[in-house]
Amino acid sequence: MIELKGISKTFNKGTANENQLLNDFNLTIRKNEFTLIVGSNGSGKSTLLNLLAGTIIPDSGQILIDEKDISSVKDFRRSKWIARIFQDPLSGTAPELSILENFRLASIRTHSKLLFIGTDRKFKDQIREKIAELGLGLENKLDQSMGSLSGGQRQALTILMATSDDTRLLLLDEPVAALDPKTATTIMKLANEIIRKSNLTAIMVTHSMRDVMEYGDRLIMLKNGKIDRDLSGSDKKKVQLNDLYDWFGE
Amino acid sequence: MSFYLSAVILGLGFASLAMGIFISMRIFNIPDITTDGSFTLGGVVAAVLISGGHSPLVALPIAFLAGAIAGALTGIIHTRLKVNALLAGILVMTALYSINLALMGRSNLPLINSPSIFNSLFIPGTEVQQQFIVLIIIISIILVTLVWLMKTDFGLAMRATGNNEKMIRALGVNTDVMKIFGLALANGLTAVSGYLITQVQGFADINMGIGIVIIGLGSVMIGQILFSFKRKETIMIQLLGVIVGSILFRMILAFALSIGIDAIYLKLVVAVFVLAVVSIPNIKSKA
Repeated sequence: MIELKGISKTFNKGTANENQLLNDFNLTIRKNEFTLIVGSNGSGKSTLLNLLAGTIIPDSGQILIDEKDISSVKDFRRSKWIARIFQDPLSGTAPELSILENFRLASIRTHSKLLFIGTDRKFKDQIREKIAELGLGLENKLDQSMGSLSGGQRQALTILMATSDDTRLLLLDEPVAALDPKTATTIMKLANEIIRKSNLTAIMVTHSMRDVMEYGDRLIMLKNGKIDRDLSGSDKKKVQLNDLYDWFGE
Repeated sequence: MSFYLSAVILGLGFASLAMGIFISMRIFNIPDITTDGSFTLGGVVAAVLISGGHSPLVALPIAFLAGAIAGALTGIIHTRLKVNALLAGILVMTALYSINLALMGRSNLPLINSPSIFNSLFIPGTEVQQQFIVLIIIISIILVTLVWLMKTDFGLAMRATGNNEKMIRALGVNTDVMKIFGLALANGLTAVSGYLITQVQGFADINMGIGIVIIGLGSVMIGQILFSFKRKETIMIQLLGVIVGSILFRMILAFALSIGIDAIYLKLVVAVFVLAVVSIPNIKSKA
C-alpha cells in the first residue's frame, strides 16, 4: 500500500516564479491496483510521480510504502521498492550495453552491484525465455547493443526489465507517448499484460483517452494539484469518452 | 630498429595512461584533466621512494594509490561541490604541482644507479629486453583486470553511469560514488604510467606531465579508429585498441623526429596529429 499524507510542494519558493503545485495532498494507492492519472499540463501529475520516485523531495508531508516512511529517502535508494518507466523510450536503457547486460542491471535493482560476474549461461537462458514471451524476436539478439534497437523495442524491454526484480510500485510516465500510434498500441497492451501477470501495483500518467477507457482499475483526475475525480471499479468502467472531455473542459 | 623498439617501450609505458583516459572519457564521459598532475605524481612517488632506498615493487601500489586519491578528489569536487568536471580537474592538477614539488624538494630527481622495476624481477636479458618484458606483463595484468571488472555487476553499473545516468539511478546506483571511483581508477592508472615512464627515462621531472592528457586522448582515438571496422566492439577489443593506439602514437612521434623535425616542434606535431585523429571520425560520419 502506498500513502501520500499532507504533501505540499512549492517550486522556486520566495521568488517571483513561486509556484505551489501541491498543497496538503492526500492519496492512498491499494496493493495490486493499476491507477491511471490524467489531468491537463501543470495539474501536478509529473510532480506526483517525481515525489514518489524521490527525484523531488516534498516540503512537508509523508510518503509511506507498506507503512514505511520514505519521504526523505534518496531516489537511487527508493529503487529498492520502486521501478520507473520514462516517457522517452530511450531513457530506460543504456545504449552501449548489451540487452543481456541491461537486464542484468535491472535484475539486481534492489541489490548492491558487486564484483561478481552475473551474466552467466543460466542467467542468459532465463532472460532469453523471458524476452521470447514478448514475441518481438529479440531473444536471439541478447548480445547486441541496446542502442541498435528501435524506440518501441527498447520501451518494451524497459517494461519487462522493471519486473525482473521485486517491485512494490511501478511508475509509468506516459510510457508510449513518444511512439508511433501502431507501436504505442502494441507496447501499451504489452505493458498491461506484464502488469496484470505480475500483479503489480502501478501508477501511470497518461494523456491518451483511449488508454484511459481500456486500461486500469482506478482513474484519478488532477486539477490544480487537487484530486478532481477519483473513480474505481464499476464507476471507472462506466466512464465515457465524452465525460472525459467534459471534465477537462470544466 | 632500436629507435623503434624504444618507441614501443614508451608506448607500453603510456598505455596505462591511455587506459585511464579511456575510463574517464569513454566509460564515464567526463573530460578529466587531473591527468597532467597525477601522471607527474606517479613519477615523483617512484623517484622519491626508489632513490630513498625503497623497493620499486613497494613504490608501484603507492604510486597507484596516490593517483587514485588525486582522482577521487577531482570526483568529490565535481559531484559533491557541483563544480564543472573540467574545472575540478584543473584545480586538482594545479594543486598537485605544488604537492609534487614539495615531495621531490626540487624540480628534477634522477634515478641513476638505483634499482628499477625492470631489473628487480630477475628477468634475464639486456636492459631494453627487461623493460619490454616487464612492461608487457604489467600492461597485460591491467588489461585483464579491467576487462574482468567491466563484466562484473559493479563494472556494468560503472558503464551505465556514463551511458545513461537517469536509468542507472532508477536501478539503485549512487552515480556520484561511481564517478568518484571511476576518476580514482583512471588517475591511479595514470600515476602507474608516470611511475613506469620515470623508470624508463631514469628521472622524474616536475614538468613531465604537461600536455600528457593529449597523448592519452590521441591513443584512445587511434584505438577507436583502428577497430571501428569491427561491428561488435567488446571492452577487450576497445582496450586493446587503446594499447595499440598508445604504441602507434609513439612510433609516429619517433618517425617525425627521425625525418628531422626539430624537437622544439614536437608538441606542435602532437597537437596537429591529435587534431587529425580526433576529426577523422567526424568527417567520415558526415560523408
